[in-house]
Formats: sequence, C-alpha cells, structure tokens
Amino acid sequence: MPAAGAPPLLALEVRRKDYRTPAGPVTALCDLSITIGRGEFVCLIGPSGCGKSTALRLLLGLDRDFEGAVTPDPRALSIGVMFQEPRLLPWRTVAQNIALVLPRRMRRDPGPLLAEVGLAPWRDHYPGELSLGLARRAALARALAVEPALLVLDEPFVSLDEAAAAELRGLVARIAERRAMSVLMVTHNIGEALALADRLILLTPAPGRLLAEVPLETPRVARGPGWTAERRRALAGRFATIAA
Amino acid sequence: MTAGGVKGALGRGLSFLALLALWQAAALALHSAELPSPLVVAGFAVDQALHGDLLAQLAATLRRVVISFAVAMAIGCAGGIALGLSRRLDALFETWLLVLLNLPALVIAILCYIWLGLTEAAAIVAVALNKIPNVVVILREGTRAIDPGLEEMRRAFRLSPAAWGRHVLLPQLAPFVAAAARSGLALVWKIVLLVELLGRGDGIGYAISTRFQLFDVRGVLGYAFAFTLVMLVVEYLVLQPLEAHAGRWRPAPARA
Repeated sequence: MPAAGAPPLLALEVRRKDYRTPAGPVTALCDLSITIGRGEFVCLIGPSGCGKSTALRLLLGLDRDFEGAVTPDPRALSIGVMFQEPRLLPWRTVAQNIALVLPRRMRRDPGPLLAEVGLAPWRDHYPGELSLGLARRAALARALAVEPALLVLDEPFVSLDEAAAAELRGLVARIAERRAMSVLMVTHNIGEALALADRLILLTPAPGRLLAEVPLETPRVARGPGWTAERRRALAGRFATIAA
Repeated sequence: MTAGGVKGALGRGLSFLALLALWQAAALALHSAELPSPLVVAGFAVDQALHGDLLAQLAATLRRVVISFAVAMAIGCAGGIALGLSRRLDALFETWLLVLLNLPALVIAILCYIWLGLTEAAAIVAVALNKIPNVVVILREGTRAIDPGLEEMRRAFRLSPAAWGRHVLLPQLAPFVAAAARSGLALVWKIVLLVELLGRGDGIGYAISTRFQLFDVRGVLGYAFAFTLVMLVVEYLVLQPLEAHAGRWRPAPARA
C-alpha cells in the first residue's frame, strides 16, 4: 500500500486515443487517467475490447500517437512487462531469454531468479518444451530480471486452468510483496483483481473511459471467499458491466 | 548418425542409383555417342581429373561461385531486410528490383562484359547481379513476416540494436536465408558457367564450350557432372548441417 500524498510512480493522462482504420478513425480511449503509486498493486478492469491493452501500450511508451501524456517519461523508469502471450524467443533457452533483456554489464546467473519462480529445472529448455503455465513463469522471470520499479502484467493468468492460475497468482502476490514494487495488472477477471489489488480502476465498454476507482483497504491475507463474494456483489450492484 | 539419419541417407543413395540406372538404360537403348552411359562419362571425368585439367577448371569455377555467391547473399540480405523494414524504401526501389528480376541472365552478362571488359570482376558482378534481386525478394518477404509480438517485446525491454539483430531478427530470418542460399547456389553456378562460356578462358563453362565445339557430349557431361557432384557435397556437408543447427530449437515432430 503506498504512502498517502506521495507523488505517483507513473501517471497516464489520455484525452483521446484514436486508431486509424480504412473506414475512418475509431476512438479506443478517452478521458482516462491512471496513476500508480510506489509499492501499489493496481488492477485495470474492463470488458473485452474496452482498450485495456491500448492503455498499457501508451503507458509503456510503445505507442506515442495519442492526445495526452505519460509522466515521467516511461523510458526513465525500469519497467518489467509480462504480456498476455509469453512472447519468449523460441530459439533461445529459458535462461538465455532472461539474460538477453539485461544490458551486458548487468548480466548475471539467472539461477536464483529461476528458482524464485520455480523454473530451476527448466533453465536449459527451449520455450517450445514448456506448458503455458511454465512459459508464463519464464515471462514473469524475464520481467523481474530487469529489477523493475513497475511490473506490468497483461492478463497474466488467462487461458490457464484454475490450479495453475491460482499457483501463479500466489507467486505474483508473494513476489510483489517481497520486492515492494508497484504492479499494474490488466484483467477482466474481477475475482483475481479482488484477491490481489490495492486499488481497482474500472473502465467502461469501448471507447474506454474511467468508470470508477475503488480502493481496497482490507489486507490481502484477510480477504477470504466471503469478503470476495460480498465485494463482488457490491461492485455488481454499483456497476452494470461487472458480473456478480 | 541416428537410425532416421541412416534411413534418410540410404533413401537418398537409392534414389541417386535409380537415376543412374535410368540414364544407363536410356544410353543402352539409344546406343549413340550423343548419350554416353554414366560409366563412360565417369571414366572420362576420372581420366581428366588424373591426367587432364578437370581439377583446375573445377577450382576456377568454384572460386567464382564462392565469391559471387557471398557478394550476392551479403548485398541481397542487407537490401531485403532494409526493404522489408521500410515501406518507403520498398516503394522507392520496387521498380529497380522488377527490372533486375526480369532482365535475362544473358543480357546482364553481355552488358557487364561490354561495360567492364572481359575481366574476372565483370564475371563476378554479372553473376551477383543475377542473384541479388532473388535474395532481396526472399529476405524482404521474410522481414515482413517477423512476429509483431516479439517486436513489441524487444521495444518494451529496450533491447540494443545489436541484441535485437542477433537474438530476435536473424533467427526469424534464418529459414529465409537458408531458402535464398539453397536456390542461390544452384542458380549461381549455372550463371557462372554462362559467363565462363561467354568471356573467360578457364572454368567448367569454358571447358564445356570447347567440348561443345567438338560435339563431344561425353566431355560436356563429364565436366558438368563433376561440378554437380561438388554442389551435392556442399548441399549435404555444408548447407543441410547449417540448417539443422539453426533449427535445433524446434520441437521434434511427433512420430506417427
């Protein structure tokens, strides 16, 4: 949980983001403001196609063609990214995939990092030999290798079976806690957002606008099934786009 | 060698023997000096290798093939990657590429000899110019097909240009480089023979032209097959092992 009143680690202001299509411009996002505090775990939630991934691309500086600003410049910040698909290089081993995102002077043995995410026995395997769950762990290890001030996760548990998703969710929560880093996670799964986040940012259906910000003050360890069900019902009562 | 490798080699050997058997049968059926049998051609090649100029001619042609192939691959790969990455460059040079692609090899060879003289450099330039557009087209398509997800990943992790080239771009282009090299080697040596025939005083092309003037089909086939043999050795001992090394990360296909 961030200190109250401290300046945010990163802030995104989008007045408008359009995509050019043959049929004319299509607005993906408008009037959206996202701030992430130091050590804060923020979940960006919205229905499919509402512009969540677009907001991430703007925030990461991968797309600068929009009306608005990211402060500070994301290039000045160490950011680790875990994409929805693992996006590992299939022709490099797990250990090589992790090593190559580091500048040469920072290269070190990825052994401890691989052990931290439970991938030590897989270090010399190629990504094609891994299950999706293991590949996601490798992608998480790569994102952590850059020692990020901000960890960005784009739907990191989607397409995993419930057991694998729960295991990876627990791992992300433990690592975020231990390293005291900021995390921005995009999801459309309200249950996993309620389990992990300090604050929820809800988006409207396309074009994505800010629907509401919901702080979650209850400590993560105290969030049992009853608390989650009750919060989910409360959110569904307030916002039509959220299923109870 | 694995059991699969032995089987493959055996299959290739049998297929080659079948080709020779077909040739032998045709030679026996025709019984003419215009189609000598494989044994007669092999005897000629061995005799020329031991007592004639076959090895010297082979060396001259091989040197031209290696140099022009290397030049064409280097320029073609660089050009293809550049055109694949930049739509503006592609639009600018598309006509140049089409003109070069459609100019017959013979015309390029003659023009090079006229403009640069009957020199070794003219021969190399002519062969390379014939091959370069082909490599450019293959590598341009390869570069256009690179995975946008991996491109976004390398931008998000701010990979250096060197790391991007070595770890992200080149491995994706490896199959295209291999395809360009495969088709390139076959094309290059045929064009080398043409430029030797037109304007050089040595090489397999020159030797074939002198045998042609004597209507010596045995000699024509002997020189041609000696060089084909060299190219097969390059294919099996150099290109295929290199390709296997580049593709070692691919999961082995499931057995049926």
